[in-house]
Amino acid sequence: MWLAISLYIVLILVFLLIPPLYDGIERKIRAKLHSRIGPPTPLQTWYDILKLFKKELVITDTGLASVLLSGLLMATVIITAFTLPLGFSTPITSNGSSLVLFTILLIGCQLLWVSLTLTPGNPYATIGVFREALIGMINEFFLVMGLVALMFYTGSSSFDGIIRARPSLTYLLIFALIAVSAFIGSGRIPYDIAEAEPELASGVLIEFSGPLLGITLYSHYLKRAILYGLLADMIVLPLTRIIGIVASALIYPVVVLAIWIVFAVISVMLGRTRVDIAPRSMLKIYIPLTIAMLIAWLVGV
Amino acid sequence: MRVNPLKKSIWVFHLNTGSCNACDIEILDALTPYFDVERFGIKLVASPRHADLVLLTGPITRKTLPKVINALRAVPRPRYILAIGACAVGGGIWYDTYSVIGGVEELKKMLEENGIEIDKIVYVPGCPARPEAIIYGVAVLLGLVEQKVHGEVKIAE
Ligand code: SF4
Repeated sequence: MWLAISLYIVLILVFLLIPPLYDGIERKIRAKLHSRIGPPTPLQTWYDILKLFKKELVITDTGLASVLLSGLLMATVIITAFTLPLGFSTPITSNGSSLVLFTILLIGCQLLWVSLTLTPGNPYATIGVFREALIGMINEFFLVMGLVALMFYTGSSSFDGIIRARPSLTYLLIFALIAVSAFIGSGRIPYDIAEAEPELASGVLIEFSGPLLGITLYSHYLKRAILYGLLADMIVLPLTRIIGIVASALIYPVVVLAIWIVFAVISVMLGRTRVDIAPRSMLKIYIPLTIAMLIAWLVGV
Repeated sequence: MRVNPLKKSIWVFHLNTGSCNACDIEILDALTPYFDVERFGIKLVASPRHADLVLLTGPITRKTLPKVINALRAVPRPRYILAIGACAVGGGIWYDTYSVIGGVEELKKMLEENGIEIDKIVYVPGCPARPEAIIYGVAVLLGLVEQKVHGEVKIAE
């Protein structure tokens, strides 16, 4: 018990600090793929965020709402991180309906992100928000469907159900469904349309400056880490039966990093698409995947 | 001495104030993977609100002046300007013509009248300025390299 609690405290601190570092590592790897040197150290994203906190805050007339909502967003993302098992079951995540709570909080984060980016009232940013919200809505539907499928498959609305999960084709397809929605939900190319429009002035974040931008970027990276952490849990949690909690807690951050890098490399290889193509291409992936998952489930493989 | 937080990360915003576009092409060149300015923590941003440094080209035409002032007001402090090209430095071939205000020095006075402070201005002359010179200008601004030219004029006896 004490071992689990002390391990948890160390790991949650690491988990909260590590997302910008992972982004820095991603930037280094991306630079290597472009035959560049890239940022001087993997800590570059941390330097960027710390610099933003030292800058002046310039806000629009409705800036107060942005400040309040950004605080709320960061708090919600951090609470969501607390409800995620970090490679082993914690007192919070072994609760009977922890997976349901996690799902609700994750949707809450997306909702807050959309509301936050609507606050500056800039028409260009608002166009970006509508596009992002459209992709977010389609994606969220399939993410929730994947999580509900996971709950039914493991027969439990708690993360502890995943520990007992046996490897099967159905589990693999549920993993694939959640992996695709994590890829899209974390704003990767070609689904970063809202941010990908410099001609529309940096999409949704155009009016944010200084500490406000720092908080928003940090929340974005942490949410990305949470989505990849969920996938890592689907790999590591069943292993705790074999390797024990200390080993699984140690390999957990490495698995999250591996998923992060795989997604980064995939997004480097993909090109940006038109705004109307993105939702259609999502459905082309999601619908066959969902049908395959249902068939595998019914057949019982 | 306090370490300048911008020394490790500096985000730049490209502001054309009526240049002939040659300096702008050189800026784009400086931002290509060939020069890889990410090595110095430099990143191009699309909104002045995110920027630390404004890459200013052109002699500032009267038509662009209100927009230039608005864009510079949106940059959170500390805000820096890199005046790129002969036009931005002192008007260049447009010096004293009716339709331009003639470079960053004049702009600075107008900004002061509007209560907008610029923390530092670095000049990168050239027509157009070379990409290496632009990167060197940023390095001078951040204090990564020593400034070689100084304001005072020394006359040999
Ligand atoms: S300095 Fe020369 S190249 Fe640059 S904008 Fe002026 S005229 Fe064009």
